[in-house]
Order: sequence, then structure tokens, then C-alpha cells
Amino acid sequence: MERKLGFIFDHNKCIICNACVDACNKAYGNLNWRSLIVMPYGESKTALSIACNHCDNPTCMQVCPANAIEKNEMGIVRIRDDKCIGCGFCTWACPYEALKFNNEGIMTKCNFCYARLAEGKGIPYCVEACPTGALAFGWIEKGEAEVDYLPPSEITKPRIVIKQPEIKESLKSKCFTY
Amino acid sequence: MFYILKKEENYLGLLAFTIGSEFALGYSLFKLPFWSIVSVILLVASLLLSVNHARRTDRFYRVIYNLKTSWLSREVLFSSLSILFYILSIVKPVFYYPALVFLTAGVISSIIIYMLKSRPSWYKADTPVSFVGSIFTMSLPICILFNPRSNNYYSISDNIAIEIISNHMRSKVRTSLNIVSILISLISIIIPEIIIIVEIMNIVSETEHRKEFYEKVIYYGLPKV
Repeated sequence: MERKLGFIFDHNKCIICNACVDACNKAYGNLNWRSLIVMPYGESKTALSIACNHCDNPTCMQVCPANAIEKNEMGIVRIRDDKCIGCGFCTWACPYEALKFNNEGIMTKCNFCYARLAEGKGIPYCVEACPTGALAFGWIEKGEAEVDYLPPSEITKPRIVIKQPEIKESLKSKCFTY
Repeated sequence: MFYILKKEENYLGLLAFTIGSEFALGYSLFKLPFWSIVSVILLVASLLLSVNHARRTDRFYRVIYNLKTSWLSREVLFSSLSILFYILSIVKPVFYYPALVFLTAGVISSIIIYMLKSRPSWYKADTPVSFVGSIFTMSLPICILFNPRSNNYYSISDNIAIEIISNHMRSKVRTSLNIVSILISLISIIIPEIIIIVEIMNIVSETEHRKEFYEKVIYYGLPKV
């Protein structure tokens, strides 16, 4: 399996400070590309920091009629904003709610801070802001996201590694809307 | 696993196009009166309405740029080609055949567009059944109206019954309309004129069902807190 860039999240290290979300929003204009989902865990709580998973099978890219989404050799799935027609079909196909419209009617999403990485200016803002190392990134062989609180990973094969809490206890979200 | 119940925003154009193209396909399949002109009007009007779904209509020409993998690109291309051939068929009836083939391909593309694993409420048999069903339920009553001696009464009933089964009677409005529609279509064997009631009821049933299709979307998503 070829190594591609992916996020790595460790539930055991997250202190739910929201720094990852704030850094992303500050850098890209409050588009909420990243979410921090807080879940009850035993008598305490834990959280998952998640944005676009730069999936191995990016259904958003496959369904886009305008060829506005591309995946590069590093595994980063990006939207070309000059090509997007704003149909929103990609939001139908992505089960992770990763795509968000901007004010100009163009779809946007996490681009892994590609410009920073490519120009050697730094690492993704969210990873840089995480004070505990709960959110990291790296060249990963395959995603490990088989958790019961996320959509089935066979749909898009997300390239994210989730390290579950060490004490095995089922994670349950407080509520859901269906 | 978490599901979100969400409503598709700005769906009226999509509803108009899916219903419009299915009606046009059924109408022309049975070569009902003025089939070419009626199909052109239905397709052009509903396609124009659906363009509005894209927020950047200034770039709408790009919608056919991903024929390699996008069924939306294919749907728009096939449907547009069918419009061209329906227009040509007004002058040369032989173009009826490519028009019908391309519109069929367009409707098949529509079905595949909605068969998304990320949306379990769409990723089920009722989607193709209701899309294909509406081709027939909206055109067969008109067939009978113009040819009361045809044997299409039972075809209507069969189609509607299949739609009820595939919907698992989840929608009370849909189920009620369809049951009454079956009864009236059977009564119309004796009084053919009342088949017009079946036509109206079927259009209402298909439209209501499609509205629910867009308004009650079950979607895999992130857990909500």
C-alpha cells in the first residue's frame, strides 16, 4: 500500500481545547472545515477532531460534474475554486460533512494546508495549534477509522488514523438527530 | 452509527427535472399526441429550472466536464442530446429513436446519481422503482384516455402496486393516493373517462413522493452533540 498524507487523531491526548478548530478558522475565514465533536465517555468525555479525510476513494471527486476536485500525488484532495459550479453534489456524496460553501457559492474544504506544505512554510495550522499532539499528520499506509461513531469506512476509505481511548468502553454521542 | 435527518435545500429544480424527464420519456414512449413538442417543452422547461440548483450559473457549462466518472455530467449530456433529437424529430420523425435512447440514458443516469451510499434513504430499491414507475404511472392513463380499448388498465395497477410495495407503505399520502388510483383505474374499465382522475392522482402521488425524497434525507454524518 502506498503511503499518502493523512491525519492521525489520538483520543487519549485530546484535552478538548478547540485550538485545532480555531486555528483552521482563523487561517481560512471561519468556514468550519474542522469540527471538534465532544462525546460522553464513561463518566467523563472525549472528543474527535475531524475535517476532510482525504479519502482513498474520494466520492466527492468522482461525482463532481465540473472536474473541480482533484487528488494529488501526496494524497491531498483539493477543490479548484475557479472550476466549481456550486452544485453541491459533492456534499451529497461525502458522509463526513467535510464540504462547506463559501459566500461566493463555491464549495470549499480542508486542503491539508497544501500551500504551506508545498512551499515548506510549515505544517497544517490545526496540527501546529494542537498543544498535546492529539492531532498529528503523517505519511500513512491506510486509514484506521473503524469506529462506531463514524460512517462505515468502506464508503470512501478515509485516510485518517483514529487511536481510540485505551480503556475499552463504547463511545456514545449524547444525541443524534434521527 | 449515526444518521442525520436533513432537508435538501433548493430542490425544486431537481424535482421538476426528474419528474419532467420521466413524464417526457413515458409520453414519447407511447407516442401520445404531439409527443415531440410536448417532450421538448417538458425537458427544456425542467432543465432550465434545474440549472438554478448550481450557485454559480455563470459556469454552468462546466457541468459536462466530468463524463468519465460523474453521472450528473452524463445525465445533463444525455438529456440535452435528447432535446436536440426531439426538436429534429418534429421535422424528421426518424429522430424519435435517438431521442428516446438518449432520454432513457438520461433517466438511468438520474437514478444512479441518487444511489449514494452516504445517503441510506436514497440507496435502496425504492429509488429506481419510483423513478421508473413514474415514467409509466404518469403516461399510461393518457394512453387509455386516447385508446380506451387498450389493455393498459392492468399495467397501471401493477405499476402503482409495485410502487406501494417498494415504498413499504412508509408514506401514508403516497400509499393512500396509490390505492385509490388502483381502484379508480379498475373502475375505468367500465367508465373509461374517469381515467383522467387517475392521471391527476398519479402526478400528485409522484410529486409528493419526490418532495419527501428531497425533504427527508437520511444521511450518514458526524455525531451531533
